[in-house]
Amino acid sequence: MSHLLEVKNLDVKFDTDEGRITAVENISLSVDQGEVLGIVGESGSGKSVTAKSIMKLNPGNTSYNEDAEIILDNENVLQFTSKQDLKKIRGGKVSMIFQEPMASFAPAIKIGAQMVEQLLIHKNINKEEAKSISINMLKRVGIADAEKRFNQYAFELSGGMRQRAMIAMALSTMPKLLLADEPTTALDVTIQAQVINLIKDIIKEYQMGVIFITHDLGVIAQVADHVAVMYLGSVVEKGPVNEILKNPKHPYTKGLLQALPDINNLDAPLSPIPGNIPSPLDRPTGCVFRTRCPHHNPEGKDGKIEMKLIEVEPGHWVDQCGIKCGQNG
Amino acid sequence: MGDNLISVNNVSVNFDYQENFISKKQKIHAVNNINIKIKKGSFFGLVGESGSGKTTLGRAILGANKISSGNVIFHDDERDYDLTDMNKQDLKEYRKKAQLIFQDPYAALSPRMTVRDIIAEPLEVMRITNSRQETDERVRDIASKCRLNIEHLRRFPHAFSGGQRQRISIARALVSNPKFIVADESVAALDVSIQADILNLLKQLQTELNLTYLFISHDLSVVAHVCDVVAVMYLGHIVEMGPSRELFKNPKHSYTKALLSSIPSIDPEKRSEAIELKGEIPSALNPPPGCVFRTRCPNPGVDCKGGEIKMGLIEVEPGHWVDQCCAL
Repeated sequence: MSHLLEVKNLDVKFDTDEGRITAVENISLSVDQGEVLGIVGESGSGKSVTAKSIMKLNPGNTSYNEDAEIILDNENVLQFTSKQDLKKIRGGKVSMIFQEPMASFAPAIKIGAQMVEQLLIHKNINKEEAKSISINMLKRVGIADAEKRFNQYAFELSGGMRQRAMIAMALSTMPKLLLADEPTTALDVTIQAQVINLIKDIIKEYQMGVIFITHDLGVIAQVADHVAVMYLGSVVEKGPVNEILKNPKHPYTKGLLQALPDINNLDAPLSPIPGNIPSPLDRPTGCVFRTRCPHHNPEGKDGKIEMKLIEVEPGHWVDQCGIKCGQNG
Repeated sequence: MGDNLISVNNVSVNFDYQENFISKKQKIHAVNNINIKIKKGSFFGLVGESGSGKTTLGRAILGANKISSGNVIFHDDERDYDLTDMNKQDLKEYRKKAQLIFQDPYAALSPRMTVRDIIAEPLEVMRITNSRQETDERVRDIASKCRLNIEHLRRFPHAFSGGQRQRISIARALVSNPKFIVADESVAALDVSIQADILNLLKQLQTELNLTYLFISHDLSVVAHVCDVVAVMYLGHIVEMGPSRELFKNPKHSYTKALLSSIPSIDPEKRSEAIELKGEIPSALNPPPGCVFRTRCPNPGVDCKGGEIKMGLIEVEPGHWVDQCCAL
């Protein structure tokens, strides 16, 4: 069976005044129907850029490599250039939920009007039908008084409510793939738990594929089926969620797990990953993590080992330099 | 009173609110009748959702918000400062001794000042040092304690990453040699790998410089790790308070329990054990009478449903205080 989404050998580069920046290098991912792929990594690791490539939402100075493919529903998105084609993916087959819902709604247009507008663009229906679909969707995501909220502005809703409205809007066009970019980061833990449960229910109900981007490994453990760990534009480890969190191989994944304060083990010291994520302008050659790696092997340290994912267990892929380092410590 | 640095006695903070100029003036009850004692050398944590009054309380203790009723006493070695009854001279002295570290290291540093000037500014404004040489010495001293590279002091903040910027903010807060630091969500904007580094630095500076912290955070696992004593706030009230280990091992209040269960577990096999709280925190304009948590409480008792039980902390174990509505 072919995947719902398949990303193959994707490079994303930005041309800036300071030179060409490699934001994403040689990424391959796949998502099936009804599956949640979690992408984790620090800020600057290229998570959002990867997701935006799927909708071709990166700015004008972006260049993709020739042999890259983003196959969605048997069509290569990267070859889409006409507005007509792009419309099919943006908001049609793919929807996106952003981190800050206040910034994603237009402040001076009523929420209902925004929901209706996008439905009219993507579906062959009239205004009345669009309104009833929108109100039903608002009810589905747990907004009380949906009719009243439909006629309100984004600033009149609380943070959790706004995120629900955002989810309702993203789902109302019945996309096949949902991109959720840090959808719970700006929320309180209690509201975060509500939103996570809502997203899980909806995935089950509509059988869509989801890419869930977050820097919080706890959230990943709760929602994802598969995980890809990204660092400085490269995937350093990927596999089933259980396997990655219980049996991490790459020193970066291990480092992220150790840096996380665990409420069940208060005696464990907090161990930060030393150093900072390097600027994408001077991206290390060879293994990208070698400048911060705590137990690098001599060859990896000099950047002599190229980045390449190797399958260590069925479905569990680790960068080859990371395997060696992981064995040392 | 010997070992307390700060005593907060029955403090309330209200703000006036008027929707438009013809409507009635209302009061926002941001902080209600808070009593806490912060011991010298302790790491006191304050947790709660947004809108629970954590920041307002922190600012009230620093004298940055007006206290509507009650008082805050700062017990210095020689004398006590009463924050509600302070003249300008006292306030200046107090500012040297109590400082604030902000949440967002990107917004807190002026992009037009060099790191040296940013750290030196408090010294100059408070006229602590007498010569430029002396200022430079103190800046270098505190910068190296905060593990900043001394050679980078002439650079501007844009050249630094989030973690380094937060170290600059910490150095600026510590340069006047304060005894008390309010750290308001100081690690919330940082990546996990760097968050651990800043937390370790704060701990290390605490022993090195004899500091007392009020650590405000919404992240319970961070608070559990670094704080000795924790107070849980909800809608302007403290609903539970105690030594952090005791409190996290044995939470009594249903709000604390719900918060703890909402932390997403790192174990994929332990999914959705969260006690889901319905709805959201009510408005502080008209908080529910009686127990403020009863509108979202998963298992309210018969008495508290009607709001008949007043808010008030009861000591259930030595040092472990719980709001009476849930303690009974």
